[in-house]
Formats: sequence, structure tokens, C-alpha cells
Amino acid sequence: MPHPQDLIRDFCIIAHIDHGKSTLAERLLERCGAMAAKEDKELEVLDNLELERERGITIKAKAVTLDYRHRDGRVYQLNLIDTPGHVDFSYEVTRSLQACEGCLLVVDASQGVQAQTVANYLLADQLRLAVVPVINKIDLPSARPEVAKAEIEESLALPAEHAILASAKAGIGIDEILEAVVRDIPPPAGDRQAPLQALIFDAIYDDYRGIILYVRVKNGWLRRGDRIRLIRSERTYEVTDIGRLRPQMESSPDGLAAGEVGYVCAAIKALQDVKVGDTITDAERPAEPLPGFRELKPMVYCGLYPAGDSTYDQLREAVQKLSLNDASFVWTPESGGALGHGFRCGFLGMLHMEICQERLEREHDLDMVQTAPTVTYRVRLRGQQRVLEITTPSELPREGYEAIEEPMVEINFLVPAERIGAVMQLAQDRRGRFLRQDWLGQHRCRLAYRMPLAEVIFDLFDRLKSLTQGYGTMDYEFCGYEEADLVKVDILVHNQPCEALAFICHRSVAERRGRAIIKRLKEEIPRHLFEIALQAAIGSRVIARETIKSYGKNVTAKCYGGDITRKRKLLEKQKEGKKRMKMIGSVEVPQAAFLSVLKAQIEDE
Amino acid sequence: MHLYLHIPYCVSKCPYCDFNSHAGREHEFAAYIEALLTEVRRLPPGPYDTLFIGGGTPTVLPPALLAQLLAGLRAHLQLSPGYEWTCEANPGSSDAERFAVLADYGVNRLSLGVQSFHDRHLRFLGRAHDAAGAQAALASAQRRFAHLNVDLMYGLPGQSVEEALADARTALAFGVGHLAAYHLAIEPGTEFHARQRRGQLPELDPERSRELMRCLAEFLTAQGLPPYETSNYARPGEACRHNLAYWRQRDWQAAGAGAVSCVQGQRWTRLRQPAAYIAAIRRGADAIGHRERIDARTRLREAWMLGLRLTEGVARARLRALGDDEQRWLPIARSLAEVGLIELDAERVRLAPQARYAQDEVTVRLLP
Ligand SMILES: Nc1nc2c(ncn2[C@@H]2O[C@H](COP(=O)(O)OP(=O)(O)O)[C@@H](O)[C@H]2O)c(=O)[nH]1
Ligand code: SF4
Repeated sequence: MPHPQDLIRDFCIIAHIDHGKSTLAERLLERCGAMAAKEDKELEVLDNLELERERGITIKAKAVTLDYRHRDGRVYQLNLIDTPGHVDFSYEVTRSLQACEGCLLVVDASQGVQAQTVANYLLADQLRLAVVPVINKIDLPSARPEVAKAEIEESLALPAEHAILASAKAGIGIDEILEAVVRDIPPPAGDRQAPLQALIFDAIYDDYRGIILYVRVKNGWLRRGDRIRLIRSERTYEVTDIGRLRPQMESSPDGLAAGEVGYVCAAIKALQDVKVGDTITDAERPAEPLPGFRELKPMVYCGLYPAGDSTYDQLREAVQKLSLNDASFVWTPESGGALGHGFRCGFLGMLHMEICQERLEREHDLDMVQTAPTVTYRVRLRGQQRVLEITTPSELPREGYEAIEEPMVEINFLVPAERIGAVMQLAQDRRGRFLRQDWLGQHRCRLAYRMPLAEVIFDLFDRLKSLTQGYGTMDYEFCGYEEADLVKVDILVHNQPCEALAFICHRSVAERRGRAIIKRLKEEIPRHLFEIALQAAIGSRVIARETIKSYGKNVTAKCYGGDITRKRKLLEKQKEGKKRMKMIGSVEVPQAAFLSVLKAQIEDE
Repeated sequence: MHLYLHIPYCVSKCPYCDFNSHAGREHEFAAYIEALLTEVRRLPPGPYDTLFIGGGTPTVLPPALLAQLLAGLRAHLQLSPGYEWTCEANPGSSDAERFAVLADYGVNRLSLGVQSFHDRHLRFLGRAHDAAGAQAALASAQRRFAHLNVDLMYGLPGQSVEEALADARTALAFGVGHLAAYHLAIEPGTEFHARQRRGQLPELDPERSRELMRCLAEFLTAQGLPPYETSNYARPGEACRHNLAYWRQRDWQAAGAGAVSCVQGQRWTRLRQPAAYIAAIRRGADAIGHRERIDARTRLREAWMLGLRLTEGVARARLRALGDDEQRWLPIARSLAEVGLIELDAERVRLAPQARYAQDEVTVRLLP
């Protein structure tokens, strides 16, 4: 039987990265018996690994259902839903939060409120969730729970005098937290008799079971064998399996009723057929979709090319596999001219890009070249209504255009007071428009800017970290497109434009970036038989130039009977080396030159 | 037939030298000569068209030992009529006496390692002789040998075009009919290489190198010694027939430590260490350290590599005979000819004289 609705609590944990969300979750699982106590934990983990190996599946706990025996003697069903910790995934965070009535807001007692604490809290607040503040890591000598409390009150306007003091590591405050979940978070309010509405808050591809949907039933009752409809995808399926996550999948003969959280399998073929945030309803007795759905769109693009010993086919296989697992990762084959054949890939943000790249490299043992990331630009065409969306400079229409618009974000920096000046300078250099400033206590300040996303993906996070000795944090959210004075900068090698090196940037920095790239190229391209001109140009206007002189000589002075084999081998080696060179017109460019230039593009000057 | 013999000893080791030469092993000389002659006695008796005793410095051997070697050679080997017999030498002490021995046994061509007639450059090169010594040795050689070669080096730090040309002029004043001018090359395993890696070797200006190369070729051509190979210049009829045999891919026999022979597609390298070589020969073994089979493709590659070193170039018929496909290389050659790097006619392909500086680059492009 489904659990009585008033004995259910659906909640999640939000925190800045490293403040202890995972550790706390583990501790809650342990306390509710979903995971063996610490002594046996190793065994348990081992078992899981065995299982994975045996069935070739990966169990990713996106949610877990806990049975919590309250001291009043009743057993509560606690559904803890995972949220990704980073702003790149703010849409997913929202989806997870939408499946809850409340959340634990975890703040590190020594670090206090950080950028993602604020960002996540604001999302929770928008959804009117009950928020239970938890000050974690009070076991640390550097813990300053009172300061953390003050920051919560000041920056979040959230009463914090009753915040729970906890240590996930030492197991302090865990009972209080569970108690607060039951007491402070309301039970789900759905109607079990109403037509079915279930929110898909995540979906994964599993080698063994195919597509698995993670859902929370809002209204109605969902059972095995039901014919369901995914409203936005406009597709109909039959439920083949349904159940709870403990955290292993456990079939539920009675299905899931309003308020319950679990998984659904329905012979869905491709992850692309599923949209996170979509609503499942009864195919025969359809209901309205739940609010808040948004089509996910990649914001950051880059090219991935095989390098070293890896081949195009290996990379394609890896990219295909990854997209099975991650619906927000998109790709199309592309030819990078000098880089050969590879893929243009789209990501939700910089972190998502890094995660994907790491997974490709690690899980598939691949060597890759990654081109400088770019954003999606919107090109307004002359005399046409149509807007062209482009992700590489080469897509710019040759015949010209009316204007280019670039994606903007609202970005918040949380910085120590003494670094405000430096961060403001940075934001200005990155074309940021100041929005507001407010204080988090005496020592920290929040600076809000409107800034082009292109500037954010350009190494901004690392610059912030180095300007603030690692204390500064940031988060951003997309807030629309804006016209800007953007230009395409071509890089010409011996009068041949090289598409792989062309880039779009703001006119004010075009010259500086063009010059930096030309300089790198000059260092990396070996001397040739002829003089090589290197130029950066906007249209026909050259903004930077360098020349690589022709070389003095390339000749083996001596070659007698005893030398022939060795000299021949040297020439054969040179010949091999030439095969690894990429040609731009008649100029041979080592692959290393591309890497170095792309790095220069990412690192700036 | 052609035969190369190696003497792996010098009075001292020059810092740029990557030849198989060792200093301070005088105690070994007699045993080495005995081993060398033992190996020679295993060779076909000839007749040999060319003989080349190289080093090292063959003239480090004391005159009596030198005589013993030459006598042993004459006893076993037959020479063709009109043979060419070269011996290498470096300016040293009592050269006249050794030159006399060489000439007496029939050596008719001497190749003298002068390198420079400037003391400053000789010191940089770590040579065991000075300019005066070089002149004296040359004067004495002039009296004994009908055919003379002088080795010079250029591309030395701070060397002007005038200095390089002056070296050539001085050599010509002694009536030499053959000149080898080598650009300084920093070879792995040499002291100069180590110094270069530590940043302790003056940078050579590549533009200057190219200039020196061009000026030397122009000057020597004007003097009647046009280049017939990358680094070799000769009056008509004075080209070294032994070396031409290598470049024209003929077979040659060899004996001595580190010496390489190439007979019927087998290229053999003897043990480099004189002591190891001596021991092997004494045991009755063949002292071969490395064997390489020269297959058709390798032979073809070498035809390109060696042919492009020669002013005469390589015959298209020869490339065809070695299995190269003109469809493969003609388009490359045409585009290189267009920019003046090679010359192409119905018979032959050759490097353009003004493109000598780019020889390796051109070779690599044409290599199958
Ligand atoms: N001292 C101390 N360390 C903790 C505590 N909770 C978590 N940590 C440590 O903080 C780091 C980040 O924790 P984690 O749970 O991975 O953070 P998440 O990124 O929010 O999921 C890990 O090294 C944990 O061991 C705590 O209560 N006390
Ligand atoms: S004299 Fe010639 S062989 Fe001997 S060490 Fe010097 S360069 Fe080498």
C-alpha cells in the first residue's frame, strides 16, 4: 500500500559545494537504516560495486526513500531528492526543488554563506519551500557558528537563531535534523483521487534497464501497466516497472501515489525523448502539465577533436555514449579544417563542459583537443525577420548581417571586503554592468553585475579565485540576449584564413587578443623555406601582424658510407613528423601550435 | 670494387666530432693493425678500383706500423689500373715521414683535415694543430701526392664571409684540386652538443650560414672547382671516385672498427669499440655489430637522399628501375621546380644550385 500521505516528507539538501551535502545525506541514510552503519559500510559499497560489475550498470542515486521511525512510534517516509550543486545546473536544481515541500540549507560553520548558498536559497524561496538551516562542520576548530548564523540572517533574511548545529562527519545533530524535517516541512498536499500528474525531475540511461525516469507523483496514483503520456514530448508509453529507491531500485506492486518519489521504466528508447521537468499524466484521463517547464538549451559550445593515439571513431563512440547519459549534452560532427574531423558539442555551462570532458577522457581513455569555448550568438539578418543562431564564427553569413546579439547573465560575486576594488575592476574589464552591492556582515560583500556570458566562460572563475586568494565565489544565471559591438577576428597564415583559429569577440579587445594569438603562432610554427606572414584581421582590415623568417639552412653536411643509414632514418623521421602536421595553405603547422593558441584564447594575455 | 678501411684513433678528441675515433689508446695500435689485416685477408682480393683509409686519423700510427699496414694491404689486395687510393690525415708532427711511407706504398690521394687557417677558429674547434702547422703539412703533402683534398669548416661563431673565403683561397694556393667544406653540425653525443644544451655554445646565425654557403659555392665555382656534392668541390677529373661510389649506390667492402660495408643489399656495421673489435677478430668471429637489410623501398629512399646531394642529381630511369611511380613524385617535383628548388628535365631530377640550403626539406618532400 502507498504510504499515508501525512506521514510523507519530500525534501532536499542545498549547499555551496563542499559544505557537506553528500556527507550529511550519507549520514541520514545510515541513521534510517538505508545504509549499514559505519562499520559495515565498506562491505555495502563493495556489494554495490560487485553488482555494478555483474550487471554492467551504474546506480546513480538521484533520490532515496527512507523509513524514519519517529519517537512518537510512527514510521515516516522521507524522500530525499538529490540536487546538483552547481549553477550550471540551476534548471535541474529547480526541478528537484519543485518535487519537494522543504529543504535543508547546509552552511559550513567555518566558511559561512557562499555564492551558491545564496543562489540555491533564492531558488528555494521562489518556490516557497520550508527552509531548515543547518550549520555543519561545528567540529572544526575554525568553526564560527555564530558568524554563520548572522550571515544567514543578513544575506538571506532567514531567521537562524534555531539553526541546527551539526557535524555530518562526527554524527552530531543528525536526530535533530530528522526531527526538524518531520516537524518543519509540511507533508505533500496532492490528491490521490485526481487525474495523474507526476513531475520528471531527472532521467538517466542505464545500460541494463534503458531509460529510467525519476519522478514525484503530485496528484493521482501511478501503477505498473498504466498507459502514460509525457505531455511536452507528446509521447505515450506503458509503465513496465515502477518502484522506490532504497537506494537500490525496489519494485512497488502498488505503484506510487501522490506525495511519493521513485523511478519509472517505460521502454523509452532515447534520452532525447525525455525532457526533464515534463509532466507524466494518464493517457486516458489527461491532466494539465505542472508549471515551470523550460526547454533546456546548451549555452556553451566547444569543438572536440581526437588527438594523440585516439581516433575519430573512438571519439564518436564516446560522445554518443555520453549523450545517452546526459540529455543536456548535445553534439554534431564538424570539420575543423586544420584539426581534422571532430565534434561541436554544447553544454549547459563551463562546469558541465569540464565534467563532460573529464568523463570522456576518463571513461573512454581518450586524448582530445578542445577548442576555445564559445557561446551561442544570435545573428539578425538584414531585411529579414529570421534570427540565425550560431556557435562558431564560420557560421556567420558571408553576405553580412544587421547585428549580433550575445547571451547575457546576471552574475553575483561574493567577495571579501578588501578585494571589492579588484573584483569590480575585473567585472568592468569583462564588460560587466554594475547592478547592485550589498553586505553580508562586515567582511563580505555581494556584487551583482550584468555581463556577457562570453566573458564569464573566458576564464573568469579562475581570475576571481586568484584575485581573492580563493575566497571569492560566484554564480550566474542567464538573463536574455543583448546586441553588442561584436566582430569576427580571422587569423590568416600566409594569407590563408584558418577557421579553427577564428573567433568572435568584442571590438574593444579584438586587437589585443588577435595579437596574443599571432604571437603564439609565431613561436610554434617552424621556419619554412619561405617567409610566412601571420595576420589577425577584422574583415579586410589587418589588426595585428607578424612574420616568420625563412630559415637559414636545412642540410645534412656529411653523408658518407658509414652515415647513410642514420641520415636516412633522420629524414624518414622528418617525413613522419610532416604527416602529423596540419596544412594551412602551403604552411605546415604542428598540432601543438593549435593547442597552444587555443590555450592562449582561453587564458587571454 | 671499393674498399673502406677505418683507423679509429686520434691524438685527441675534437669537441664536435661524432666519428668513431678514440684518443689515448696508443698501446692498442699494434693489435688493432693485426686485427684489421686479419679482416682484410678475409675479403675478396679485388681488383679494387678505389681504396679509402679513413679515421680517426690514420697518420697517428707510427711510420713503422703504418708501413706494416700498407704492406699487408698490398700483399693481399689487387688494385685496378688507374686506381684511386686515398688516405686521411691531420696536420701533426713528422708528417713528411708518414706521407713518404704512404706514397711509397701507392697511396695517391691525401685528404687533409685542416678545418681552418685561422688560429681563433682552430682553438674553438679544439683542434690539435694551428694555422702554421696546417700550412706546413699541406706544403709537405703537395710534394708527395698528385691528388689533394683539404677539409674546411664554416659556419663557425663569429666567422665572416671573408674569413671563410680566405681559408678556401689559402688551400687553393697550395694547388689542391679538391675541397670539402662542411658546415659545423652539432651532433648528438658530442661535447658541443652538451655545451649547446647548457646554453654555452654561441648561437649561430642561420642567415649567415646560408650566406656563407652561397658565397663559398660561388667563389669555388669561379675558381674552377664547382660543387659536385653538397659539401664537395673539385676541379674537372678530381672528384673523389670512392665517395661517388657511395652516392651512386654502388656496393663497397669495409674493414675496421665501426666500419660499414654494403654488399648485395646487406649493410653491416662492425663493432665500434676498437678493443671489442680486436677481441672478436682474434676469436675468429666476424665482429659485425649490426646488420641491416636494404630492401627495395629503402634503396629507393636512399637513391633520392643521395641523388639529391649530387650536382648531377638522380636519373629518372634509375628511380623507375627502383620502383618509384612518377605519378607519385612528379606533381611534388613540379611544384618544387616552380619555386626554383629543383631542376627537372626528361632525364634527371636534381636540386637547384641555389636551393642547397634547403636540401633536407626538399628531400623529405620527395621521399616515398
Ligand atoms: N570536519 C568536518 N568535515 C566535514 C563535515 N561534513 C563534511 N565534511 C568534509 O567536507 C568535505 C566536503 O563534503 P561533501 O559532503 O563532499 O560536500 P558536498 O560538496 O556539499 O557534497 C569532505 O572532505 C567531507 O569529509 C563535518 O561535519 N565536519
Ligand atoms: S681529428 Fe677528426 S676524427 Fe679525430 S677527433 Fe678530430 S674530428 Fe674526430
